[in-house]
Amino acid sequence: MDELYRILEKPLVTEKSTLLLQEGNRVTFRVRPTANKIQIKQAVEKVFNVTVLSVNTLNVKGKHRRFGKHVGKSQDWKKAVLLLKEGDKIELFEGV
Amino acid sequence: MQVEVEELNPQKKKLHITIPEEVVSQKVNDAYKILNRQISMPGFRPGKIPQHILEQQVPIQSFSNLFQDLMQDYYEQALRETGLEPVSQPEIDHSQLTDVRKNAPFKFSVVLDVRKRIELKNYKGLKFKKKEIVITDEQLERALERFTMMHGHTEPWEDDHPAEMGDIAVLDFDGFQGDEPLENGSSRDYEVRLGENKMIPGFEEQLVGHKVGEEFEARVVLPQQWNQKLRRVSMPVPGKEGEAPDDLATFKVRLKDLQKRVPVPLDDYLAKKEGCGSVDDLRRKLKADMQNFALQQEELRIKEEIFNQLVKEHDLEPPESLVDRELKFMIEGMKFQIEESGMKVEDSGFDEERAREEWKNRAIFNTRGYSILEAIAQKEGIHVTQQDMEEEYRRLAEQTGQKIEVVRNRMLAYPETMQQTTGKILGQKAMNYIYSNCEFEYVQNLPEKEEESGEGNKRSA
Repeated sequence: MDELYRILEKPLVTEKSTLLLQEGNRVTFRVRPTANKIQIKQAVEKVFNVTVLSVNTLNVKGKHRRFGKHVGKSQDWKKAVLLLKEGDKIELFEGV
Repeated sequence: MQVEVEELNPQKKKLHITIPEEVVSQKVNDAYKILNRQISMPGFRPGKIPQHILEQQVPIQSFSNLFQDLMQDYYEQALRETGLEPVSQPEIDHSQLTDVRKNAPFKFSVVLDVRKRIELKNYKGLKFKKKEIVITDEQLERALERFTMMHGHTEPWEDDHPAEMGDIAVLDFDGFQGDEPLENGSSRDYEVRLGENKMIPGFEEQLVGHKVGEEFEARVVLPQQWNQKLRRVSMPVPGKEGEAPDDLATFKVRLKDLQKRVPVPLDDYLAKKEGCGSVDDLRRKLKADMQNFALQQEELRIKEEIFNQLVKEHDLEPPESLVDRELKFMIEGMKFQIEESGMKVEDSGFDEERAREEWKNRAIFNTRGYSILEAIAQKEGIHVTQQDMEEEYRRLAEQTGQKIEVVRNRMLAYPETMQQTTGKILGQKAMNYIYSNCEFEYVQNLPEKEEESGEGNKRSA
């Protein structure tokens, strides 16, 4: 169970994610980069008590940042877009 | 819009106003649209935040300004619809502000004092006795004497001259009551002009006959108001000892100097200094001034009589809020006077609570008078014009030594003061109207007063 909670890092609420939610009941999470689709599906189903129909993931490369002469890079992360069964809802996204 | 009027008492109404749902949601949506552009939220471009997310972040209750404006608007609309005339600032019940919802009509209530229709009795052609004013030669001479004295200078008397009325005495004194020194009852090098009666009654008289350098005791009965700190304002030797009204105080006095007042000669030089061509001109000017002053006094007296008579003839109960306001202004005025005289309000012993009770009747009386005047103004179509306001600003600016713009802006910023001022001007104009419509019976002397009298000087106000 603890493991599952650690897979989901935070929900993503952006212009794009609200659009996806409205148009196709898809929710978006930032997840652990090591997690695979199956784990993500299990995690979301367990934690939010919904049925997940499909999972799409993508790796987001961290941005290059520099501060004066120091060059750095923000962390890479994984984004997961999940299609929920019609009628299922996750409260988190209904209101931030 | 829906308005229900609930009558609390004949002069107090409660309005229940309902703002329709469309208006509420329209206003709220507009407000959110404006807010959307103003705030930034990560993940969203400015202005692109979906409203339901925004609503969660910024609850609808935080638009209290919007609702207050809305309430003000609808309150005014409701007044137009119901035809009620509030006499003072309404009490708007803000408690429902916490309960606003987007898709529901908004209800609120307002309690206001309304003016009862005043049935005006006769106010035209009131009959009053008016004193005819003429300045006699004797009065003019006396005024001239005062005038030359005022412009004169002082000269010391010879050493062995006994003090007499009209002299200016310089003295040291220490006041005692029994063996106790009077608080603030002593002074050094105090200048007093005998006969002006600025000191405790009887004190100045006892100085008469003494010569410079003499030391003596003067015994006076302390006046009754001695203890009332309020009256100290006009007392040159304030103190607070002595509970009983007729306390005897002893003043040890040392007369240090005596001076006499020497008038300037009444000649063309003096006249020119006063802006007159000759002595005769000066006389005429002085006479005209005296006459004007007396006329004004007479006008004021008659106006007061009119006011009293109007109040007596019209029986009406003024709304509480107006009486309260009048009381407040009376008390503020008193405080202002106290402060003007250089005392602190706390030290003066001025008791606001007591004043409130004691002045209540006066306040009711005044308020009744004002309401009547206002009703008359309304009936006669008397209005306060922009010109009147400008005049008032100018007068106030002159009084306070400020710029007209400053006075005007300050007035505009305080609606209550503004209301009071326009009310005052309206009352004055109405009073002038009544005054000019009075019938006067010219008399030589009024029964209760005997001052100037003489032959006719007719004028209309």
